[in-house]
Amino acid sequence: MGIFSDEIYLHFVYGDNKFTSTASLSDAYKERTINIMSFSKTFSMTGWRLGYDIVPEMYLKKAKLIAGMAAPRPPTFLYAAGEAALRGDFKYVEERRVAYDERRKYFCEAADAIDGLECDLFEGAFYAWIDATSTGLKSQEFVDRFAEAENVYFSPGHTFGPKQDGMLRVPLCSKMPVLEEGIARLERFMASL
Amino acid sequence: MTKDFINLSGGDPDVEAPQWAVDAAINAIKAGGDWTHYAQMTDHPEQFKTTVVDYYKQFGPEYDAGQVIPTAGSSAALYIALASVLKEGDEALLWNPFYAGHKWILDEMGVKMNLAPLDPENNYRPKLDEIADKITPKTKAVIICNPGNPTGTVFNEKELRHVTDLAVENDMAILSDEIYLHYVYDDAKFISTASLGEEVKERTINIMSFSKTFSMTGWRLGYDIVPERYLDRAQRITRMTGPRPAHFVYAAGMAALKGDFGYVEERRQIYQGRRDYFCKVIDDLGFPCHVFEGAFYAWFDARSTGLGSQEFVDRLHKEENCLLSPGSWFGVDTDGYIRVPLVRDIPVLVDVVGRVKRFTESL
Repeated sequence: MGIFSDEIYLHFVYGDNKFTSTASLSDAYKERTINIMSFSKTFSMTGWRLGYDIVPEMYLKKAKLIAGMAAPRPPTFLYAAGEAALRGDFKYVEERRVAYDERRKYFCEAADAIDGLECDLFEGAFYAWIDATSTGLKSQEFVDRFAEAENVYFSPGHTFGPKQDGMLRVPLCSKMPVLEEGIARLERFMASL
Repeated sequence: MTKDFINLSGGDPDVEAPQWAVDAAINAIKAGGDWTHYAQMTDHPEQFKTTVVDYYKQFGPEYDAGQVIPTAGSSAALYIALASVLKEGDEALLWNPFYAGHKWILDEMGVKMNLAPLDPENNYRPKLDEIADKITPKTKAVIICNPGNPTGTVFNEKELRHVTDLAVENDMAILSDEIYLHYVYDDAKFISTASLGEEVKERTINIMSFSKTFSMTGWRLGYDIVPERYLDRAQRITRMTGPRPAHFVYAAGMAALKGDFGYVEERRQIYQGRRDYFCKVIDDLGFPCHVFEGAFYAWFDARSTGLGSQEFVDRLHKEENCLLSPGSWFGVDTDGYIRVPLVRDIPVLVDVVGRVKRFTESL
């Protein structure tokens, strides 16, 4: 099998967790692993549209052919931004990681403390994943009603896998005061059910 | 003494984009916020699409903004258009000579090319009586590159109607690659394919680009304009392959389309001046050179050297440090022809002519 290793959140891991590169495990893995990489999350560059694959020889010709045809090429000058980011000070990234970690600890605990919701602490990336199945609402219904009642928009969990209906996804991409306000609204909404 | 390398292998303009387009992008990056984050969370793509349809109605029909698919350059726009209407085993009608990029991608898609001639004896006009017999039940699309690369052919209304009538009769999609539309010369006039009538418009996908018009090849900004009948499929392919422009590049695109087209007219006159110079002196060297009416490629016949295109190009490169494009890539029966994008100033072109002269005299 080919191994697709989507590592776009690799810098954002918390606590004792440690990111391991799939391809680092052995030559046998490396030669069948395509890394799917991005600047979007690491350097907060979502609008810049810069990412890349690292492709083993076994798939390289085909990958180049598809890249040549579909041609999703970055603007030439964005290579300069990408190089500067990778060669620059990774304190930026560590600061982001610490900020996400703080948000994670606050938000997951606060959401978990709300009656009827459960939220475990995630190890990596920056998404809170809330179990709202006790409400009896499907994900989409929860999200829609919460948006209407409290003007806060979450992602419905059912779009992220089978048997996930009733789950909610919250990217912790807003600053603490906004997350605190989100929690207050979530509390009020849950109390109203 | 080594001569400076002159690379005239690709059609990459030798000037910067309009200053207001550059400023718009830089200001957008500096402003940050929305402009450097996901575009789909903002109304900027919608504003861009609206700007595009406002612009295009100068030449052609009106479209809904939702019919515009922005892409990171027109290569992606070309792929989306082709993949929306063609699959392996189909055939596509195009021209001889053709744009090498069209051939490459069709070959890779497993689409057979049926070539109708542009007549070298008649200024590379299409031979209208030799088109219908190139269409079979498997011919699902015609690619009209107008103005054309490499011959610069600008289809007149009679020619365009002839081709589009055949496309309608045979239920073919029409892919109208119009990336050189602003660069036409003398009495030639660009006509938008989709302007020829509702039944043409509803089967025409426009493939468009900022690269040539505004000298923005490195910015990666292009788009398709897609009729309803192919729109779902085109949108699905776009979502899968994801060739989205950088968000702040939309700002540059809008500034370019809303800005002063004096920039474009100035470029047009410069290309025309280069054409008038270069084609004549190459012709005077004894290599018949087509005086093109659109785009910006000189196309000359070097068969009298006895060299094939590739050998001519390779040896000129080696001996004179000057890289041109082999005509053999751009057609069948075009071996011995050479393509020269006129994307350098006249002094450089004078130098190129000198090198071609010295090289060919040494043979």
